Amino acid sequence: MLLKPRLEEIRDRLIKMAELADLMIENAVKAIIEHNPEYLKVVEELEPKVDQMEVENESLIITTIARFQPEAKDLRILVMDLFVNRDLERIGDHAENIKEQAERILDKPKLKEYVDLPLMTEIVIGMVKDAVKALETMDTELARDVISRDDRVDALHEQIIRELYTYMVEDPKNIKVGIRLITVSSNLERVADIATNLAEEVIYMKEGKMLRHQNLGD
Amino acid sequence: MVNGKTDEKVKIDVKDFSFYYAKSDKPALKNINMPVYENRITALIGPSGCGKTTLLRSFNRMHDLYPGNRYEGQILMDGKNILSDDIDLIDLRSRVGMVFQKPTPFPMSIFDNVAYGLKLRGIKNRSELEGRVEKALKQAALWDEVKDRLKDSASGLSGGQQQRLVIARALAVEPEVLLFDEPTSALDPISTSKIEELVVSLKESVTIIIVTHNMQQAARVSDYTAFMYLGELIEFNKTDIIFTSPQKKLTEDYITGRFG
Repeated sequence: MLLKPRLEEIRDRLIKMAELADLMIENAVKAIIEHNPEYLKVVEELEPKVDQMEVENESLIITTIARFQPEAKDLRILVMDLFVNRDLERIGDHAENIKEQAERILDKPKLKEYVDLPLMTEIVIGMVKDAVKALETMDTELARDVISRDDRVDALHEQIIRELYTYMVEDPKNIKVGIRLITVSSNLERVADIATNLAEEVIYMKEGKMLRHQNLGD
Repeated sequence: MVNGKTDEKVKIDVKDFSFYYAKSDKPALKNINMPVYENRITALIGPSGCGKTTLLRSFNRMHDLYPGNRYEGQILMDGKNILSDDIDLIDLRSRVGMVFQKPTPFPMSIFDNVAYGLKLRGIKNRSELEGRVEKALKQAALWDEVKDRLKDSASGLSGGQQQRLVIARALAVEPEVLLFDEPTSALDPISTSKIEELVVSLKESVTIIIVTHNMQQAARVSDYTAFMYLGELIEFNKTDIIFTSPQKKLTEDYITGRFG
């Protein structure tokens, strides 16, 4: 089958792109936690690469659909590949947003020792990594596990807002950094949502089941 | 005509080429200009009567078999015009092989079918013949299925096997170019898929031009596609572009089935 090597090529490219997007998030947050702008250089360097990959992958997926007219599972995979491609680029955008906040956080003294932020980052990065692993191995059990972790991230995000709120109420001088840290947390929370989407996309590829917006009913 | 730069090497260059069938003043092909790139697959597509088979048959001067047919312009292969009078047609046709719509095995053994062209070229040494027949059958992905019955008649093979045998016969004389004229239209889907994979694998060693009615087949196997209509070349481009964003409306209409 002539389509199979094309599907494998696209899969490999998406996995490579995911690794870069992951590195971007990791380094953007690390710069804040360790109060060291050096890490931001990695984000800056990778951003155009991820964007370039998105464009190339999209073109490859579209030409593959046009040339092979896939059906059933092959069609589901290729359409989801398009979503995965865009999701991964979005993760890169969020890393870029975090980087912009980091630049403004790092020119001021550290507000506090971070506790929840590293924990949240670890969970979010783990979600992205496992969602990609699920994509690589078509492991829907792992994909469902990723989805289940999203609530924990939401709770941590709330916790971070509450804590920073008290710092800001205590001393208005903390507001500048506090707001930026909340923005960082919001971006991480969005990345967890994207990891959830990725996991749902894997489940659709393998099982043909749409998990999004299940509260809408049948 | 191809967008952007290309690193491809031109194997055949069709220049201001027109073709007239005997007793006709109306050209069947009008002023065709296109490259055929080396070690690539070029598909000729278009509705019935568009001239794609006529063009294909010009590449090995098949039209010379009927008196009165007339070529105009040039078809340059490695820079030399194959339409000129001093071209040795036997030599040309061994450099430019052809595979037809219906499998055309000769009424002889599998081995002799593949060895036929080699014997014509004066190769008599048994071990050399055996070596080259085996190589050609392997290239055509048929060896494993026939190696234990090379002496059997070729007519006992299935349609798909016969077509691969014919491809092996064409490959045995080590052509530079292979022309395929609707090579799978007489085959079932599984045999078709095997031939398509075979065609794609062959581009490593030969330049391929394929005529197909099946647009999806052109999309699956080719690197470049030429869309023809009423004897004219409407658009030539990378297959990726022809099937996602053709530059001409006529091409788009044909590809999307909005024709006529």
